[in-house]
Amino acid sequence: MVQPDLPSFFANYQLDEHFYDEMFTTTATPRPQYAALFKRLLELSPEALDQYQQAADNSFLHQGITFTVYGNEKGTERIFPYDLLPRIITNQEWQTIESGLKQRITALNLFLQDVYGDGRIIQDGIVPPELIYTSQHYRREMRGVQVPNGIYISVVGTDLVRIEDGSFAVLEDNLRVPSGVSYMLANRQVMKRIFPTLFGGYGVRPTDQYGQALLATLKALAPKHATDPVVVVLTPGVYNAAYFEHTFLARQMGVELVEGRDLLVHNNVVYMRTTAGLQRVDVIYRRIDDDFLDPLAFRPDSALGVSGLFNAYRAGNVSLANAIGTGVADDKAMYAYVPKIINYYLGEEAILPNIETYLLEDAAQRSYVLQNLDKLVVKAVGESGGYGMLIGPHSTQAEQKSFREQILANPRNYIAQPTLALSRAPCFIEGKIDSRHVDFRPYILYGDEVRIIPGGLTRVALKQGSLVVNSSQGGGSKDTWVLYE
Amino acid sequence: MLSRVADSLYWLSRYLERAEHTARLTSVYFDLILDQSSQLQQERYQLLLENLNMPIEADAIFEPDATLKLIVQDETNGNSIASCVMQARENARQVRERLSSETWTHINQLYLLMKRPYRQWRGQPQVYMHQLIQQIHLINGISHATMNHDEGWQFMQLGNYIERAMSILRLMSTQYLAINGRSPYREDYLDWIALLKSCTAFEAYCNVYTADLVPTHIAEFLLLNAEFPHSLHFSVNMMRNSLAQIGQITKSHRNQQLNRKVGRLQSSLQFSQIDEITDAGLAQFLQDIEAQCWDIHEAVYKVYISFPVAEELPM
Repeated sequence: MVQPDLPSFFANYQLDEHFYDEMFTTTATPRPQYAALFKRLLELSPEALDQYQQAADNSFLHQGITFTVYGNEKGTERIFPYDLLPRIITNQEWQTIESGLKQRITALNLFLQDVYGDGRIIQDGIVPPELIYTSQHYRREMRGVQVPNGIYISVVGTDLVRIEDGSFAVLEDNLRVPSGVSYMLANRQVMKRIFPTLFGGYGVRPTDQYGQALLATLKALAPKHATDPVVVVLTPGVYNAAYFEHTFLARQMGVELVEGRDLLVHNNVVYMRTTAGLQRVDVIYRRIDDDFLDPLAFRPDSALGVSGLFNAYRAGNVSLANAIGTGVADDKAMYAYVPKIINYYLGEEAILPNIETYLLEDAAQRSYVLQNLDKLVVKAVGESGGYGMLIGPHSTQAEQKSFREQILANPRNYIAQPTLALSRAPCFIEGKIDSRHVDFRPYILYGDEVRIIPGGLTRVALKQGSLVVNSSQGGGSKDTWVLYE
Repeated sequence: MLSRVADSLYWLSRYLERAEHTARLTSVYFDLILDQSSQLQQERYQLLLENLNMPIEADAIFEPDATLKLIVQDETNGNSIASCVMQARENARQVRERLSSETWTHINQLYLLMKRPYRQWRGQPQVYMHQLIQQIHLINGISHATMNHDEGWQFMQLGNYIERAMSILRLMSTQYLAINGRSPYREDYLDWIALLKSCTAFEAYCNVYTADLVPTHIAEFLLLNAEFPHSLHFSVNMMRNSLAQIGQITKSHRNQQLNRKVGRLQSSLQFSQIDEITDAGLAQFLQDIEAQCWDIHEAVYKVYISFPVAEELPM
């Protein structure tokens, strides 16, 4: 719907009551936190914005801030599309998000302690045992292993969405190896260079301290023997899609970026091979999935991992962040139980609600879902990155048929959710300002206490009408401003 | 510093130096080929490819297009400029957190420059070679000015100069011996100038010996001059410096043998005389030095990069 009340720059701006708009109220007046930005946009010509956009793109390209797209022969490098206009979150909204995330992460950590410990929550009948034991990310080997400080999930990136009424809800807990934090930091740097005066006067809380916070979190996990712990970042290597981020984080923290082949284990102690001989390693921030960590303990064909690492870990000689087996708690089917998990451990109601979720193992829910495949979103429970997903309203008959067969063959492997009305935010697209669907991923650190950097990655579905924000599926990102006021 | 990182930095510089050398030699030879009667043309193409250690088919008839493509773009040819630049960038990518962002950005630009299609520069290959050389000079200068001169930088220096020493040795043992060996020809001076230019040495040589081109002077300049940065002696001095720095930083207790090897090589160049070398046989001398360079390369690996782990483990 075209808005007659908006200036010509916004001529094609889509605004309607079905979707919450980040910038405008339904009567097309800017929300208070966006008023100054709106005013500034009216002073700028499309040509000026175009120049800014090019300056930003060049900055990413020349810095080589790219990710690798798979599917064609050689992995091609692309920049992660960046949208000029910031997404703004008020202090009040942030307070809710922050306390909601703290509550959720605390509860999920207690859940992991319990699942790999006494299993009270199973005995008390809150979570069905088969859901845990059939999860492809459950690691039997972790039963009874003492993790440092009892903390399993040290680095988390939770996906939030804003729904029709303007409140935030949790879409996914990413408890394994969440990525994207380097884009949050890089976006901010570019933003400060391009809109210095606007940014300077806006009262935006800084995010630059992430590197220090991450290092402090990792050091807090160090084994007792280490007074000045040696921390490393473990990467699968240069061909990984997030390799840029791994180098970036290592540089921000001033620690070594290692690959599996740089490490070796002797008598349950981990060493890295340096030009000055072997050096002991105390904490590993690993960006490798559980399966590939140690070919002796997990997948024997893994060439990325380190033989004997799991035994060194179990002996308490080295710490891993995140712990092994955390994926059992971010399984998409387990997600449906998180409000109950919060209530069970903390005796509180969830501050951030879940999205309604259908478990396809349940016969009644399954038959409802199969009848409504064209209206729902179906997701494979163990997948991420926007793969293995059916978006009902945008799918073909053939796709629905294929998903129906897959669901019937393995119902435990799927969940369904209503098609979400993700909120929309203004974006600069082809010389005009238009609205696009966005989500929000804040980053949470948990070493001795829960720390949340005021900000996060706002991902944008750049295709008009699209609801998929993943970078691998044509999504982009924008800087996110959390305000002091 | 991680051994793998040292390895990547070392090869990053070696490949950059190799790409630069290849570009310069190509530019010099295509210049030379313009200047002369066709009598020696085929021989000079042949010499160029031999100098660059490139595959040559028996009885090949050389022509400019195919030769340029082989040298510059052929990715199946491991020594082509394209292969060297891609290897350099790949090594740089693996140690990005160690390079200054400025250095990385310019390596990336070199890669984009190298990707230019043939039709865009075939009319003026010399101009294009010059651009490539300049971009590599830029990378060297920028890394010099923006990076810590720490262990990693010393590994880059080491790679740079060991590669340079090897290229000079190869030039001498193919081109120098070929020109010196053939019956005198009225345009020989062109080949001697080309040899000097291949090491950016023509002007520097003239400063020392004037424009009088005497083969033994040329050999003396390229092998034994200690002040000229594209000479063998200078390169070996730089190798020795870098190895001394690396030894100090790592406090290595395994590098005595390596130090002896590079020290011996350096002294032998420092105290040599060119007439003694030519009397005893230049070809043999060049072979000996090349073997010593390889030996040093292997010793670096044994000490710093792929040392036997068992020796290092606590008992």
